[in-house]
Amino acid sequence: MKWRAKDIERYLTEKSFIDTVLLPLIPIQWEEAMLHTVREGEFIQIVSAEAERQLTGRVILHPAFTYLKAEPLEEHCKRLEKWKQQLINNGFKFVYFVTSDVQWKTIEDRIEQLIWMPAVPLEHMNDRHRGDFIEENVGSIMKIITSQWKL
Amino acid sequence: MSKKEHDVSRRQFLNYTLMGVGGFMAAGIMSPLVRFAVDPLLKGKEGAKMVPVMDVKDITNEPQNKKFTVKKVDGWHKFDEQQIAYIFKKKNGDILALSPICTHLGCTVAWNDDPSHPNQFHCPCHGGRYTKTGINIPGTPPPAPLGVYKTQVKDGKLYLGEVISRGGS
Repeated sequence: MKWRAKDIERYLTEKSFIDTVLLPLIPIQWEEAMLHTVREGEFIQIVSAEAERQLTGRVILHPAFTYLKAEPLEEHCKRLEKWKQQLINNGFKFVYFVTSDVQWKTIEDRIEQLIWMPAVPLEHMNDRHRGDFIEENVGSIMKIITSQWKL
Repeated sequence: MSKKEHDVSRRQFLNYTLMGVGGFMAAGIMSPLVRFAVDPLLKGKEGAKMVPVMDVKDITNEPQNKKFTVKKVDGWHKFDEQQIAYIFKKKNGDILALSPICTHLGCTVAWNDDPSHPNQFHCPCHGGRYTKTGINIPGTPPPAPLGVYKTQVKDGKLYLGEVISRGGS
């Protein structure tokens, strides 16, 4: 389900079935490597939107967590922890963070359920390759999520 | 003699001209109104377009996952939406194209991916299951059978249209 009134209405009536949140972490940066930063965000948004489409009945695609790349990671962590706490308090069992920003990977062990995937310049790919590539990545996100559900 | 026949009085002349001009103006106003009023009728039905998906000769008895794109309009936002159909031939030779959207909460089901329940459609979200023809299996969450695409065969190709719901409780 997406972050929109129609879907959330559904969520409110079917709460017991929806226990998973997909939360994209999207960096912002205007100076050096801006294009790369944009790519990281674009890629993660496409992949997480597609994963949401396939698992729409149990997953909510959360509005992205955005942050300035230049700021210290510690601060993002604190803020993110608050977001996560709110979700846990509201009955969500699984909160997945998806990102292309390699910064998060360095503290992978501190953040449970981090899904990191490298961004690629999608704009240089032709339609078919892009489709296949996205599908592969979506597939691996889905595998991670559904395997956790089965436990 | 003709002078008398062609005589138009001042009053008549003014009447004619006023009627002419008035009629012209009325027509100018009415024609767009009428056009707007009938416009919804002239517009083709949204989403009624059939899309070619695969060659009929490639359809087997085993459901095949086929992807295709349809043009959608959501408010002011036009986009291509990717859709999936599971296409196969039934025992009697009829072609069946199933929509993989779970009737429970809308996840995408997959064919034969659950080893403990072979030859069924299986929903990854809440374990909903359907038979090969898309009938929901009692005791699993889905309330209705999977939707069926409208099919049409033309020049050896299978065309798919909109999804028809098969109701349910």
